[in-house]
Amino acid sequence: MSQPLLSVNGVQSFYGPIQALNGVDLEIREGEIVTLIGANGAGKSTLLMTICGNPRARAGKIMFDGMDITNHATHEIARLGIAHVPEGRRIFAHMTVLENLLIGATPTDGTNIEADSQDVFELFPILEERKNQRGGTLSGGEQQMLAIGRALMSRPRLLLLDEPSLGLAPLVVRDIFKAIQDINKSRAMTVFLVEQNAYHGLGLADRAYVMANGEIQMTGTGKELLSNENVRAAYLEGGHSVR
Amino acid sequence: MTASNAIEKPPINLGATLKEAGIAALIALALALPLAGFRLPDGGGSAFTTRPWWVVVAVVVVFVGRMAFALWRHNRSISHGAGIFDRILSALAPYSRIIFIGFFALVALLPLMPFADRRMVDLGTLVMIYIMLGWGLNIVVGLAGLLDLGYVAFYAVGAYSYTLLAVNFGLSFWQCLPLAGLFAGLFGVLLGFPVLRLRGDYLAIVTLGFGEMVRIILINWSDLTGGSEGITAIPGPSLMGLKFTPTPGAGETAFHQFFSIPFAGIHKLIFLYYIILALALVTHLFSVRIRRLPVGRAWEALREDETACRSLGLNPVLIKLSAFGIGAVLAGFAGSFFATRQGFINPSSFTFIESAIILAIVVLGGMGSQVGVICAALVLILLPELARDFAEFRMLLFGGVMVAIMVWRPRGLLVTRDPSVMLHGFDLPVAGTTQVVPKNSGTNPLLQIEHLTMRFGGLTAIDDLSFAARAGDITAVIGPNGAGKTTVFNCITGFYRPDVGRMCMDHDGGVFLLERMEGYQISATARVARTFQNIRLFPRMTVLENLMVAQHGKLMRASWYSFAGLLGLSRFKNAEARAVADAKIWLERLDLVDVADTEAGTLSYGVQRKIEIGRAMCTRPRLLCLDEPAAGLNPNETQALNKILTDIRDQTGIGILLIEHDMAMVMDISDHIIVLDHGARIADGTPDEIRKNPAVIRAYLGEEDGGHS
Repeated sequence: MSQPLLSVNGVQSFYGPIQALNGVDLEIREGEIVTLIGANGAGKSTLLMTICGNPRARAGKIMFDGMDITNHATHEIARLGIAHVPEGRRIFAHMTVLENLLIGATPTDGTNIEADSQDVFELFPILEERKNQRGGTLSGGEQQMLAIGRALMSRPRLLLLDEPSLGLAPLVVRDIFKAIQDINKSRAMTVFLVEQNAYHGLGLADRAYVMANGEIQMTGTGKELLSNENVRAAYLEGGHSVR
Repeated sequence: MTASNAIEKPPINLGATLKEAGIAALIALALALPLAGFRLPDGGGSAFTTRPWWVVVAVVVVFVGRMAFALWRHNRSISHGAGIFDRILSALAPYSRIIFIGFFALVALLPLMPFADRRMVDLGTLVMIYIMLGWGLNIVVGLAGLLDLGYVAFYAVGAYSYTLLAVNFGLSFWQCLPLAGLFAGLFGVLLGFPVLRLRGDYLAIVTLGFGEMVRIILINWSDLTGGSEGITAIPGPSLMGLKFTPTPGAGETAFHQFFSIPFAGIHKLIFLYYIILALALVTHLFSVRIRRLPVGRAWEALREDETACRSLGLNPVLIKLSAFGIGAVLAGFAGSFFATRQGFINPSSFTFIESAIILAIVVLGGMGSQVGVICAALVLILLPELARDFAEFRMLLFGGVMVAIMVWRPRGLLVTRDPSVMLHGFDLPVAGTTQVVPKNSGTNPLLQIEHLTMRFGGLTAIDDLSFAARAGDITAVIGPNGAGKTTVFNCITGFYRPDVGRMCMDHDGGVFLLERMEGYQISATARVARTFQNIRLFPRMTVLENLMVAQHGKLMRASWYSFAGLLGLSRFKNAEARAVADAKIWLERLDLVDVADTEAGTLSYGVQRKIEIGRAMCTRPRLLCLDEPAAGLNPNETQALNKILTDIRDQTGIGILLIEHDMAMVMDISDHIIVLDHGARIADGTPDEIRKNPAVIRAYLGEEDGGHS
């Protein structure tokens, strides 16, 4: 493991007129689950979007598998093997589940669509049951599964997940995180996860970063951060027992 | 890490650029060969001359231009910060008033300048007609977001109204002007009433059809309109009874006689120039002012999110009609001026291309921008006229400029938007207040839902659901995804009409039956406010503006439905200050004061959630329905939200209905929990009862989570 799969170096980025990233450095190695936590407005989603080239970094450098992708267009980055599951899922509401998955396969050469969609159905059997239903009629949890499945169809080497637990019932949250772990273990997929649900997010992470005000504040293994006093106070407890 | 932050410029891919330029050159060749390469003789006949050099020049220009463009774009993608144009604009911003007055003085003095000839004055008049039309359409398209492709119809109605009134009844221009505006406005409202349910593409097609219908009626109703010949000898305007004619009729005095100067045709043109200048100035002041009134804000809010508007008690039909009607009135004024200037009209002046040009002015200027319309009208109207010297290259030049503007500024020339009201710098003489609901003295619950059933096709989303929510309580509705929780909210707030069931909202002893009310009335009258699972703010408006839209009804009444506001009466100013003060209370409580004048759409998810709660509270609800307010918040932020919600409950005494998946939060702050599964109630009780309920653990909480929380 000589070089990281993704390395982000001094990246600055703007969201509208506001500077959201003030020089972010982090790296993700092949096969890892890396979790990024931080308060709302810290710039987590902007970082994922900047990695995907929308918006483009105004300064700094993003390297993916030894290639400088800082100035690549979003669709080129997707073709290189980075799949983004955006915040709020953004599935195609008026297309069927199957059509959603087929669109996900756009960056591939198309020879593996059958097998890949079977894989997704194995991971999320409910999607197979609903495969001819329109995306918009799915429940929140099913839509999240579809969004992940759609990303997997592009056969990515790096999966970017933006708050997959958003608005999901506790049981479903657990299913989703189990699926993420499964994708990582059995398919050797590298995962970069942004999560508000820090307890779950850190629990399955090999390594994690804490972000505040557009900068990385702290890094360590998932377990280290889970037991770190400051992290617990800022992102985990909030006066509640941890669930 | 100390990485070098200097961006390394990747080398330009020369091969790809050459290929791209080559393809562009080929297309240019295919186009130039038939269009410029051959020339038929003017007098007809089959012999034609060839112009090979023209084709060569065209191909070379395209090839080199494409290469230069690729290089320019490559360099641009590396550059930082705002473009030079934006920097100039922001540098000029503080002097905008001086610039405006200077520009106005220049325009006002133009016809008196020694170098001003007929053509210049005429051209100035023409440009101002289009500026006025652009401002009118800007209200409809730029502010209210209603794509109107038949705007010229109202222009035509105004022109024909004036003409027919002047020719048949001998009314003067000044008598006809308001009438023409009125007729056009009436037409706008009449057309708007049936079609404004439509949006976007559908509305565009219907308005396009309406524009054509008016033209065809004008052609075919020849008894009245003179058919395609039109009407001639339309009287020109007079200055206090002084006519602009070399030979006045008996008993009339002509302008040149009154002032004892020799007759000159340009006097009339200059007079017309000043009329349209005055009309345009009035239109401008009107537009600027009305944009800052509640109705103007409502137009923009409607453009941003109609669903959210309804949830805040705004009646979308009325708001759209007012935009459509006012846009039509302005077109009517411009139309009657057009008629008096021309002296004759026929239907060929009111073709679709006119609508398209006016729309292009609005889009090119930057939707919603007053000054942008001026710039775009200058480019679009002046350029083809000035370029007449270039003879047959006129339109080529025009097209080139259009393409360049769209490449350079794809969202229009001026896209900056001034907020209609700013917290910072607003002088607040009064302290705000919030509502306080008296403790429920009687035994009536605030909201009583009985036998609610809602089906979508074969799917029963809610199945005979009954429950009650009390004032001063937080009532949580929980259940798996797809259990029908949001559907219950949509029924309560009028977005769905339930198939069966009653929803009684308490109101000083009486009840409102929510299932019989329109969505906007449920907020405005029954005082039920809501937030949305997927956040529905007005993203391009500031946080404060979002909160002001929520106070629309009260501000509209205070401004006498805009009249007091247009006149700048203190009655409206005081009401507005009170509304800002009320909004400020929520900005302070929700820790949003710093971002009050920031566009809501640029803020992070968690902040947007808070804005939505503040906006809902600004409607002064008696029942607040929150759809997953803690989604996307971390535990610390959730705890802050808990405090806000319990404060709202304890201090205002209103009822809160809460959908949420964060069990820690639900258990912590709820007084009463209702659990749904498959549209039916499976449990109902206090947090402790729910936590131990086996059915709830099975369907929702999961075994290990049920025990500790």
